[in-house]
Amino acid sequence: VSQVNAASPAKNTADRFKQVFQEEAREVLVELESTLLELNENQGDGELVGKAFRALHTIKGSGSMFGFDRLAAFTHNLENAFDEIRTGRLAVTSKIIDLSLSALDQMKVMLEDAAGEGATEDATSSDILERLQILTGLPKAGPVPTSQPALSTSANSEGVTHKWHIQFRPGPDLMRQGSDPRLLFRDLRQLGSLQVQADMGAVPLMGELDPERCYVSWDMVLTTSATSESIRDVFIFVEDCCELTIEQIPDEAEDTVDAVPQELGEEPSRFGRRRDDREASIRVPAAKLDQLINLVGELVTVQARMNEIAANSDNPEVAAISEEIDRLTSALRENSMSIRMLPIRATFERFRRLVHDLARELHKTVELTIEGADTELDKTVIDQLNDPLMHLIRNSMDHGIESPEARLAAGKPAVANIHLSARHAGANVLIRITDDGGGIASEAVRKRAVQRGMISADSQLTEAEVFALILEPGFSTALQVTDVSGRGVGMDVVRQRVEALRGRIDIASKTGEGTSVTLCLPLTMAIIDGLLVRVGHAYFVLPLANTLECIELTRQDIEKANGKHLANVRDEIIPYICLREQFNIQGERPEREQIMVAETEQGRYGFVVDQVIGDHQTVIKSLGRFYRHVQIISGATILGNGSVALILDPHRLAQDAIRSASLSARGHPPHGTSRPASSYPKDVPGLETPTMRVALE
Amino acid sequence: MSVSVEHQEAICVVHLDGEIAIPSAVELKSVLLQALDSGKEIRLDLEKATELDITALQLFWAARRGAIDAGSRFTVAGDAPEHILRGAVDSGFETFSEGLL
Repeated sequence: VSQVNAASPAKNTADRFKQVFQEEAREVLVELESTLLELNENQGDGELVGKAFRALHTIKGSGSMFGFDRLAAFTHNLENAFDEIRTGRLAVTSKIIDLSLSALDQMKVMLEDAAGEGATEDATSSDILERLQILTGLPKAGPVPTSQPALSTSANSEGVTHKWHIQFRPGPDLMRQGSDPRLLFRDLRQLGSLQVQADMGAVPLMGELDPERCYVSWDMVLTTSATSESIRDVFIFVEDCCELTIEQIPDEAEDTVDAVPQELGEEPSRFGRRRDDREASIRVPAAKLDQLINLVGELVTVQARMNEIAANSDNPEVAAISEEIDRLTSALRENSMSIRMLPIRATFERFRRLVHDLARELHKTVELTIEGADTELDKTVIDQLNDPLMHLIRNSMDHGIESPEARLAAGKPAVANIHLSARHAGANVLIRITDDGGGIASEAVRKRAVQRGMISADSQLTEAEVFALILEPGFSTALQVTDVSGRGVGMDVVRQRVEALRGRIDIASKTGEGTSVTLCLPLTMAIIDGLLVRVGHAYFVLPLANTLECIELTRQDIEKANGKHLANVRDEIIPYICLREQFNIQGERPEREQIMVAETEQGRYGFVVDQVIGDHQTVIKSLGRFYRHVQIISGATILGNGSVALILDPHRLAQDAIRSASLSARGHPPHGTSRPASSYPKDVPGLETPTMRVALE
Repeated sequence: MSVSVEHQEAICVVHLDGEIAIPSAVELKSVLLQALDSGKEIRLDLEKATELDITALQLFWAARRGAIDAGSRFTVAGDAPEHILRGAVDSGFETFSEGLL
């Protein structure tokens, strides 16, 4: 007897599938967590129960198929419990949800454990299963068979039989993964009468045939009273590696595969993703995307040099080619940036669990509402947003939101609300955490700041400035240091993280009504569209998304305004900032200057420059440590001639101007706090020379 | 799976016994390629086969097409066990029981 062992490529494929399973199982667990938390709020929602059951069924089945036996056996118990709930034999209770959430945490540990990244506590698993047994009265489930078990089916409400056209096109590795289509046909036959027709059209010639690959696809007609969902459940373990369409055949249609209509309906998949979307997408390691962006950044920089050479060349062909490459580079840049844009949903949804757990711990009742979860922003930004948001929510829960008793006494509903929202605003995303808690007592903040020597007792600060003190290092008004927050380091870290993302934080609060913290973050941290301008020998970039128009500023205009920095633009008075004065740039002012009008959070502001050079694809480089605290500059970029241009932050510039004006109006120099916003060096070294010596990272 | 190949005058009989499935697919392909190279009519003997999976069925189909392209024939002997034939038909290979694939 000659026995052929599975070849090593098959083993590699199996390992690859294991990895894919782990990645997908992580996603399924995140969705399951949201489903469970939603179910806790709406305990009678059968759809959510079905969703949770299917997620558990997937993890159990696929886990077993890919060798995650302990995970599969553990999940099997939870799946059984949800099957009982699904069929109405067991009711959803908060206890079951809480236990399911603990089980879900254990499943996460087991999943990583199987990947060699964690250590599964057997005692924890046993404890959870024991508690589950007590809650549900169900016996402990045995090991999960690796073959595909038939799902218990649910008939449609009328109990009427229908004909279904099923097209099943397996992926090439179906058989290598250990799946066998014959078992699917067997399970389908349990639902009703099945006609199967194999399509061999894709089988290649003998010499080119990979014997372990599946080339066959199938067309089937199933006559059954089962629902479309029950039919789909048969394919639940192979659905991710096959093309599957299930469509009801109108009753009058002929009983043959050929008679099936060609236009197929769009079935939502298990977790609500559209089938077409998923089939048209591939998984790519994030590191490869980062590499792509870096390369595009380099290309953009080289392109700027090319433009420079083309502009100085007499050869029209060079200019034409340079223009064409510029167009292509720009398109390539936009495309590759869009690949990295992700909706913030996953990050937001994760906080449902945090709010649920903290509410328990703090004996508060809090509802989390989410808005704008589909807002997209750069993956790098999203990755670094988790911790700051977590801390802000913890703060709200711990310090902001009152106990239910205190809320009722204050005439508020006992259930508090935390609202998490995201929306686009120009080239930025605004993420806001609003709570309806007790608000921040500005007087207490002030007192604490004076105690800590952060401000002098006679400092006159606006309310916004007082709230901004909360973000200073070592500031904490909490009476007690709790496990949740109040260690006095959090808000400072939040600020550092947000500023590292080139973002800023605004705090608004009303005593007794609540607090709102807004994070304003750039859409991307890599490359932006900018407008290159010149003042003397120095170059600056203004983000194009903020700039509205360019107008001329003559000596007469300045005289007309009596030297005030105000311009009349079509009868609208617009304040402006003279960059030459701002950065103390030496040299003669030209007769005619240009005002770049930009939209800032403080309203329209003008920025006076000598010359507007034009559009510039700006690859953002961080400034060195020495310049990190210079808030009015958000980075630097390298120009085609090798020199450096600073990227200005119009919002900060405007904010700074208003602040200085307000402080000098009150007769105070702008040094009210320990870190005045205007603490940037007026004489930036190297600004007077074409090649700046700014250290870039 | 165990294989033996019997060369008759104009026919090459391939005896396949036991479980004919993915673990032995690479070997089955090589056996069938050799049989095709012989230029003779190929006859499959599945009398002692216990299982036949999709990888085997698609290999038979490709081998049959190769034989036809070479002006030869590829058939399944009539004494294959009932459950093997039934399994192939249930998987959508309706003409398999008629020895035609």
